Amino acid sequence: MTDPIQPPDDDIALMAQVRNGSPDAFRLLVERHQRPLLNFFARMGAFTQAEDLAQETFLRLWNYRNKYKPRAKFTTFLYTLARHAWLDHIRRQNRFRLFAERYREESPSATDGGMQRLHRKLDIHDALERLTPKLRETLVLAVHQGLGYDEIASILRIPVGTVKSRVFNALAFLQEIYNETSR
Amino acid sequence: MKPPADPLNHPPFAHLCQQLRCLPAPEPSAQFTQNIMSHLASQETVRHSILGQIAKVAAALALLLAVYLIHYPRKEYAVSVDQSPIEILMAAQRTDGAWSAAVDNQPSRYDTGVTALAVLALIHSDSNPLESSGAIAIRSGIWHLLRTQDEQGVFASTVGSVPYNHYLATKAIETAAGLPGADPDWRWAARRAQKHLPPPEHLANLNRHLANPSTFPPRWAMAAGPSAQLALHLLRPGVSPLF
Repeated sequence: MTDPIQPPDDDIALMAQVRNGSPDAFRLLVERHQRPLLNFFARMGAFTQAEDLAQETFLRLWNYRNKYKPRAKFTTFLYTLARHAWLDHIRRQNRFRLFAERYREESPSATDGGMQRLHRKLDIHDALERLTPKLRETLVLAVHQGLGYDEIASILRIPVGTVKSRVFNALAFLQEIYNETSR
Repeated sequence: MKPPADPLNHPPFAHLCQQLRCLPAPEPSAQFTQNIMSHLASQETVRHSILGQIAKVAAALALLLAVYLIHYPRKEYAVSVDQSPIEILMAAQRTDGAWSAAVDNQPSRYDTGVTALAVLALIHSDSNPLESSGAIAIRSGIWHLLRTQDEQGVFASTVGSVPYNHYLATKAIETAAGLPGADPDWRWAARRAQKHLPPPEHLANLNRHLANPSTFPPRWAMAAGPSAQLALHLLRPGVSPLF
């Protein structure tokens, strides 16, 4: 017999409650999706900021809760918000990078910190970092988040064929690097 | 090279995909959910606080608007319900000293008679009119009448067969000339005008009208306008303290 006060398993039903301003339903969604979301940001390269970005995504989810239409899957909406949070993060990083580069150029005692001389063993994580952002986000959504090609196409707003092509290219690129380093 | 229909399940990538999936997933901190809920609560508090501030400002503006509308400086009219009939009559006087028969206070052919009636009403409203608050109105009214008197002593603008204008102007000048502080010229003007009064039987009728203003022909009273009617009201027995 089903407990009548059992929270709904369906994310869409929970989201309907969130739309009505239910913090309890929102808490359930957070608990349900926090790990996959953290993994998404970590695989995208923001390992240390993954938690901040995931929290930011959930806050966006609350603030934009009225924009969610039950027509789409909940994860499509969530990862669209996550991607926007990620892109904003990249923009901030780029601004900081420009500032840091200029600072390094202007500072006579500045060095590269030995980063260029540091040769690390290439593992799968390093290989991921060598992917272009477009290939990487497509691959992360497909492999790590386990989203279908259709759903990824909705999130990235590209045709399904392009999603498949990007996934293939990403995997082919990774395999090539992997084969080179394992020789 | 054309990509396969399902690259994730493409056999050459099986090992790679397996390795990718095996990458350790980060664990959320113990406070992850609590942090979000706390942030949410503070965000809502700030939002309510802002909405509250907006509501307070809106209420204050509404209050100011209401106060402004209540105390909005409305157009002041020359005639107020608080004014006495004498004050109303004086307020209706034109800058040239005349009273008009027209509602819009423009000159009309009845003005001499109306001005004379107004002067008579003001004279009869006080025991010492030329020292009263209406003195200036009386003097400027008479000055206007004198300007309309021609060389023979006739007050112009006679209307119809009954010389109301001349008769009333003569009575006004005559009465004013008998007041303490009257201008000597008024008496001379009155004498000249008296020569042109109608025959005795006709004059008796006019005197009767003036003694009892309600007997004035309604048609004339209506044509003479609101100032004339107000003056006739003030000249009625029992209203004027001097009648």
